[in-house]
Amino acid sequence: MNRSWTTFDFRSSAPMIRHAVQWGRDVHLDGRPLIDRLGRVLPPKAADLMELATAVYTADRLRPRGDADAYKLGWSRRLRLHVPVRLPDLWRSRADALAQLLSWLTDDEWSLHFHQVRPDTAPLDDPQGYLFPTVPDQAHVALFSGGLDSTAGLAVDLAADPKTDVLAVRVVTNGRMEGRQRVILRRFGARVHDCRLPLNLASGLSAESTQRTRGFLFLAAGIATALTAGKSVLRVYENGIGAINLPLLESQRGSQATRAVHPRTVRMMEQLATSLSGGGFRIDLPHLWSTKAELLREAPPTYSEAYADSVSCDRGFATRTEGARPCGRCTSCILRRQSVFASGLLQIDVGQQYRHRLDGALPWELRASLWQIHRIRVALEDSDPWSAFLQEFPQVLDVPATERESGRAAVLRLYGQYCAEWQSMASYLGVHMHNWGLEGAAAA
Amino acid sequence: MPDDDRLPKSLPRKWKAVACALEEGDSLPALSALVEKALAATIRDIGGVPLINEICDQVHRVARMRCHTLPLDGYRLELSPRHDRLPQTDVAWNRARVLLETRTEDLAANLKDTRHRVAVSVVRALAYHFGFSRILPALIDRAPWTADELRDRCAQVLSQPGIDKLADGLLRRPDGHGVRAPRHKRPSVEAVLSMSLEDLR
Repeated sequence: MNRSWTTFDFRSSAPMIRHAVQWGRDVHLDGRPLIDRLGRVLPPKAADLMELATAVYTADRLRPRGDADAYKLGWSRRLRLHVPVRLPDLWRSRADALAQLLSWLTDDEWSLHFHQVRPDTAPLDDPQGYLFPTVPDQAHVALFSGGLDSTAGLAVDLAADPKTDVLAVRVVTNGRMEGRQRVILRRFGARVHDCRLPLNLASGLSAESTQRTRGFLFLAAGIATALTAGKSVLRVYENGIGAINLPLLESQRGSQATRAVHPRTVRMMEQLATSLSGGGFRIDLPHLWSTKAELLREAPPTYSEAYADSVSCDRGFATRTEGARPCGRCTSCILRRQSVFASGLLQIDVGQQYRHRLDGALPWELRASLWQIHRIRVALEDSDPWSAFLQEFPQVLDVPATERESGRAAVLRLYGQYCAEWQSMASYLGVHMHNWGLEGAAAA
Repeated sequence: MPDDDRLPKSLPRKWKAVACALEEGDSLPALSALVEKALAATIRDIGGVPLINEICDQVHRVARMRCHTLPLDGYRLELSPRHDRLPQTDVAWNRARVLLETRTEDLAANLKDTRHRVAVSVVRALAYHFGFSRILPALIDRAPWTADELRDRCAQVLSQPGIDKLADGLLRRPDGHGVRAPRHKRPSVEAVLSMSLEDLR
């Protein structure tokens, strides 16, 4: 385990230490498209939050995890950040809560230090005022990633309330992501307002691919946009299986199963946003108790082309190559393929052209998924399913709703449904159902 | 959302022998001896579970409070996990949470039993974290057993007295230094003759 701290300093007057990071040279955050779209300058709290999230994300990308050994003892890091902000006292009073949130998201230890920024040196400073704000009165704010859940969730919201517009917030970290997200958003027409925040690291600077702070970055962008637009609700479209994201294998620790929009992450971000807004602030996960297939079945067919355009592959955007095909076997691709199959909406993936088939020799990611389903099935068939589920997946206790009986029942229903959906998928793939103990897997 | 989730599958030393034994369908005593050796090596290599006694003590204290205090307005005392960024510490806190939810009264009874119970649970979880879960998904379709049978086999191995001894060793040496697998006597002819055929495989 590496016990030393790595320090990143984002001040323009950073002492000559090893990891001085310069805005504009090493990391570029462009607030202009968002500011122009809203017709409003970001208030200091919102601008600070977005710049802090960018600094956190940058540090996360620059310091590699030393996890080459079989035990993965070097997974966790110690990261110290010096960040210039407009309201240092406000952020100092929240430093411990922020460090806890980041530690939960990344398994790292964070030490955050805030300093007064020099006037007009921060990336989101904008001297231009706006006479006419362009935020529609009837609009809510939602995160948009270009994935299948955010596309389907956006469609559900548009269909549910035809009088409401949506401010779709997206953080764009590469050109391919930008292009695909734009194509999808156009399919929704004028009711969806593109709130784009481009963010780029200098070429060759990134040394770590895990990006466990992406959830913090995206949620911060959503909160900053909502605060700027005078809204107090942020909607996040993610199915329950993906949000809770229980580990597929017992060998996974903490954030190796991503916690980007885990209900606990959302609650912690909600508390932060509430403390910043001065009033109440809510982050909704409207599809928390649905599987991905259930979310797809709820989505209106009107936007079927948008669903087909969406990208789920973990390597899909990362390849940065136009026309690159999704791998088909990363955990995100597997969940997408499972949900499309289980929903019966096979036309969504007709044009996907996955690089790898799932039948035949089972890849490790699929074996891990089947292993998880096997464990879920065994637990749910126990005479005391909640205790058995806990034995298999202690991490479920991190879901705040499980403090209540109704929350525990909702968790069991969700995973029972998921298990039943997998049964038909496994059969379709030609998996030996008996060998994996999936015969008779049934919804709770 | 699963987003580039990491699925560790590389086997630490001595676990490859366990994988081979599972694949070959070795006898329970032979398999148990290999697992205990692998677990002991793992506990030494990772530096034990430095917070194990603190975790046990906190579990006992919270269990007693839960048993002896009337809940006020739904408030319930919870563990306050202290983390040290080690994976085995995460594993240990998770097992402690599960035991506290499912065996509160047992844990409240006395500290010595609680320590043993938590330590055994942690050692079993370490076997899955560093060993079995990296082996079993790859074995299904290849080994002579199904997923259910493989899990039963692992449960049998982890119920052997050697695991209790390892757990006690960990409690005595939380840094893992010097923790050894218990020695197994060569079974007598009478014992071999009385073994079930399945265990002789």
